[in-house]
Amino acid sequence: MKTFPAFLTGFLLLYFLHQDFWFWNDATLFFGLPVGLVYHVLYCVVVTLFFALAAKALLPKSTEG
Amino acid sequence: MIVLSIGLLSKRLFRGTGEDYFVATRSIGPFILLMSLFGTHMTAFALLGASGEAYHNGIGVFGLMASSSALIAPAVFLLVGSRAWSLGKKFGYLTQVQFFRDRWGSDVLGLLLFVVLVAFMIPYLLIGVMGAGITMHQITGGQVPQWVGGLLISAVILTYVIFGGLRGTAWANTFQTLVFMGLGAVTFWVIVQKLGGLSKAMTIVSQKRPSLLVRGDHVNPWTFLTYTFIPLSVATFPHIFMHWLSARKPESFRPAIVFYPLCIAVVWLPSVVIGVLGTINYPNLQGPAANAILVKMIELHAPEYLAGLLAAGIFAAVMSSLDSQVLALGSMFTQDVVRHYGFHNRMTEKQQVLFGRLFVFLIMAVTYSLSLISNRSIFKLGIWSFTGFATLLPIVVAALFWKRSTKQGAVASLLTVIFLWVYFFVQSGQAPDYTVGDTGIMPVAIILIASTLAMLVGSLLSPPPPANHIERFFERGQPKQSLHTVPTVDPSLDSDSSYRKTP
Repeated sequence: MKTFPAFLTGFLLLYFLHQDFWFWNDATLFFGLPVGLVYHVLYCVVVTLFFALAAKALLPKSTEG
Repeated sequence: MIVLSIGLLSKRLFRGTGEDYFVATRSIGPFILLMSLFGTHMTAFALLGASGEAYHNGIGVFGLMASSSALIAPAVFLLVGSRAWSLGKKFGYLTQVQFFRDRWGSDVLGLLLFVVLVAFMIPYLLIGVMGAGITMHQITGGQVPQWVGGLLISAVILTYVIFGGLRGTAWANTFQTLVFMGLGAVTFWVIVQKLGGLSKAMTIVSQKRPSLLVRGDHVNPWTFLTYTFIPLSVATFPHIFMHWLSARKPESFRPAIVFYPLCIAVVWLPSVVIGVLGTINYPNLQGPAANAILVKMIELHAPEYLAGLLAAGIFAAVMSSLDSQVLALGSMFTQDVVRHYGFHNRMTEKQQVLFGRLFVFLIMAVTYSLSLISNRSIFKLGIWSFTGFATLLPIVVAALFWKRSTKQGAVASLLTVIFLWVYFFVQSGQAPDYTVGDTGIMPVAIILIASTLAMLVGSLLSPPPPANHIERFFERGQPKQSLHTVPTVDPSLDSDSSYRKTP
């Protein structure tokens, strides 16, 4: 019962983190790429971890053999 | 040749039924589901459109579409996809329209949805056919005209979809997805090496076009915020819905939910970076001409033998979406028109599948004709198509999760989408970066809010649906039956007023 509110909270937090206004005008290169781009690639990795937990908790389980 | 072979091979497993042709008898496992969903979702839009857009507007394109999709799409698979699969298996649905028609007991709603879904799908098909034409034209140094590339890809897809059905499409998608992900990485590495390494190439861009390395003035903050509604379209794409229904069991969704964000990063990062680096070698491309930047960079930097292979990767991405889209349209026509309106009484099951194939052929012919006269950016065409699909979300969510929702609410929501979509499309004219009143707010946000309100108000102002009808869709527990036949509203009861009798 508590898993969905936890999922929703995590989702909204990630939604906020997607709006990275803190790197909006930062052209610093990081590993050869602009930091604004590196941030969003790493963001995809974090989202992957989040959904690994979410799928474990929320995905229905089959009752068929 | 390989995808044609896959399509023909899968035909050997064809069981001769509509359910097998359209959803592979719900037998697709986790890995194939991930690959086919991802391959279907990523198209010329991701490879050609994203690199063309990055060429003009820089790295902000990744945050706009890629990382927002990385968050939204898995959430949709988890919350909407798995539940849609469960109801699809329980009641034997093969299309979205069957579900919506059954859920709200409305024939008019089903027909309206059929027309709207097909209409929104055409621009989406168009970007695939255009992408194929552009790729063929560029990779042959202009010797093969664009219309030949578009025609070739249309013919190949029609062939293996017609023979293979969803099983062939899912297998071909898996192969194609692996090809374009692998070759995308090779393309990226080859081009970056030719430019002297990533740091050196980006330093050149920072000196010549520094604004491309930040979002800066290229992206309005309101646009960045409201673009996140666009990936909600994955909840209502007919071809994605069809792939959901093909899953063997709910656990089959797990890799698609977990690894989708990584797959998106792997495909979009090279596309966006090559688009930005393209300004070094081709600094003066105007408007839609930038759609060809990825192919131009391959042609310029990759050895000849590799260039052909890399172009095949782009073809793979284009085909992996087009095939599912045309199959979904064929499925909808067969199930939602031919079967539903009683023509099936006069036809064998094979004849019904044949009619679906003829409809697919007709749609492809229309799309191909439009590709010959369209001069719009691939990216912009995609956005208008996705806007339409995303704004249908309230109908899907209400059908799956809101017992009190009614057909009146759903029709109100759908009519709101149609009216506002047409209004904003006409308002936008040929403006490439249209936002509502130049505020930066994307039309999708306004239409989505309006269609949600229409669903709420329309439902609450109309009588609640019969409890015994609704309970069928909200029973706890897992599927208890697989009917393998499609429940439909009895046409004789129609006139849009009768809910289907509970069995």
